[in-house]
Amino acid sequence: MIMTTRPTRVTSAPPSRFRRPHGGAFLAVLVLAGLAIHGVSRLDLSPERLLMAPARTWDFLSRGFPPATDRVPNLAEAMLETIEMAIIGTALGVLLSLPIALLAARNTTPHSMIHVAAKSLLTVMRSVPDLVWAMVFVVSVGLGPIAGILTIMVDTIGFAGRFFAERIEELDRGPIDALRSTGANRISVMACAVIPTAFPSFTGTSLYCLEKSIRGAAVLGLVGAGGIGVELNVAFQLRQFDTAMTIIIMILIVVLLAERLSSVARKRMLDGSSAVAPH
Amino acid sequence: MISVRDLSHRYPDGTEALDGINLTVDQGEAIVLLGHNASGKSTLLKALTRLIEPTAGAISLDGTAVTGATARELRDVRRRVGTVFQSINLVDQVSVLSNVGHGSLGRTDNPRNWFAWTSSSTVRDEAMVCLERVGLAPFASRRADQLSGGQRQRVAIARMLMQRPTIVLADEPVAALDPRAGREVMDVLWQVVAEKSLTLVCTLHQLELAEAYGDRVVALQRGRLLLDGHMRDLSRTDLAGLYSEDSEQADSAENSQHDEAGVNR
Repeated sequence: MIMTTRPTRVTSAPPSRFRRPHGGAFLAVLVLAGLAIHGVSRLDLSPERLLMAPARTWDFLSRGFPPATDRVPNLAEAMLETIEMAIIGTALGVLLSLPIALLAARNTTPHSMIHVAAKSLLTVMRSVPDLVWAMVFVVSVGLGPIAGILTIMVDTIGFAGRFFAERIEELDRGPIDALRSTGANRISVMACAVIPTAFPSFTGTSLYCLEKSIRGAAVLGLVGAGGIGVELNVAFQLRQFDTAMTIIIMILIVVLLAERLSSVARKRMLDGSSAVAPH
Repeated sequence: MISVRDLSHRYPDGTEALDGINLTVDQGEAIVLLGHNASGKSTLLKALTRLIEPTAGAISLDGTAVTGATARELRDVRRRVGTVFQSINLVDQVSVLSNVGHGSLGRTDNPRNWFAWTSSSTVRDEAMVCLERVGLAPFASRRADQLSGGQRQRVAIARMLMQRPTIVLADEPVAALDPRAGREVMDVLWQVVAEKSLTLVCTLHQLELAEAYGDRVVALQRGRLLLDGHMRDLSRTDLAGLYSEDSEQADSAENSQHDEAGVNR
């Protein structure tokens, strides 16, 4: 027999099932909804455009296949340039982000004003989209891969610098205090305790930056900052969809390979505790 | 030599962590500091090198006045004081040899000595001697995180030796270790301290270790000096009284009051 028990009589009423939304949150939802409706109204979504879209997509795909494989040798050179831009830009970015992160982290910064300045610099670098940086550098140094490298470098500093600084702030104080107690100076403590302790995390973040840079570098050419994006832009403008499809497939293969290699390298590094340390 | 006169430390919430401590430890003497959690042991160790600032009193280490010392003088004092931590505090990602070499950073200030693979032969050789002394020379090239807790604490002792200290402060060095590893660490610590005639202050929780290693025992309760005597003059009852329930409650009451104030002792 199933026993059911009646709840004992309560003297206080339970709280309401629904809470009235906060005035600010309600206003924010209204503003967002208003912007979305206004945006849709400006899209010029005519039934003709919507009806034509599948046909146009089919036209692109049918003209894109088979891809122009005869162009692969020429495109490979541009792809190589893209990968090289990503590697050089990421390497420079990671190297420069390390000192900025040490200045930005609360526990290693020499002064609170320097902490604020370094964090603000990282925020500016991170907040401006990479295509905008690319346009700025195309104006500064002209068309070509140098603008692309500078773009990737700035983007990497903004991204890696923030994560490096956060990792430094989370570090166990123990090894740092132990070295300070020997009378070691601030730079020695950073070099011997802070950086080695955070190193696995730094390397993981750097590999992720490289992966992100290769993906980003592929489109920087759209604004003239070198690499395979230049070829993609030209192919679309000349409506050479078979060449465009070849480039898209090449980008896909390279990005997937980069992701896979980066993932394997990160995993190996995390398992690296079994490795013999340099002595 | 350590000399402490009328040392007090009061936290901002008014809790007396240390209250009028007077203590002298002669050169080459090793003492055991006993007491409950929050009795003031760790606060006293930190105050000796001014890692926390005393509210009142005077401290002198090897004749140098620590209270009132300038930043440079304080750094010089700290170079001569080796510390062995309860949490060991090795840099796990580098080799055992690099960790031992870190002990020389305060006196060499040479970036070449940041890593064992770039450091001078003199530093490498000295680090190997320190590792031999704690019985871990064959582990020099291992990463620090590959060692057991007891081995890691012995590496920390080797790092302390590398610092060439005259005074050693050991803050519950075996609290995180199993009894066997704890004994091994205590053996090594006491031997190296005796060999080099170092002055040692070692805080402990375990009465049996205090009885086995301590020649002189100092006990704190609620920040006050409760007992200061030689082990041979103390009875088992004296020592057991330190850890009686009444005594524990007294310190715990202080501790919880202090925790509520959000101050970490």
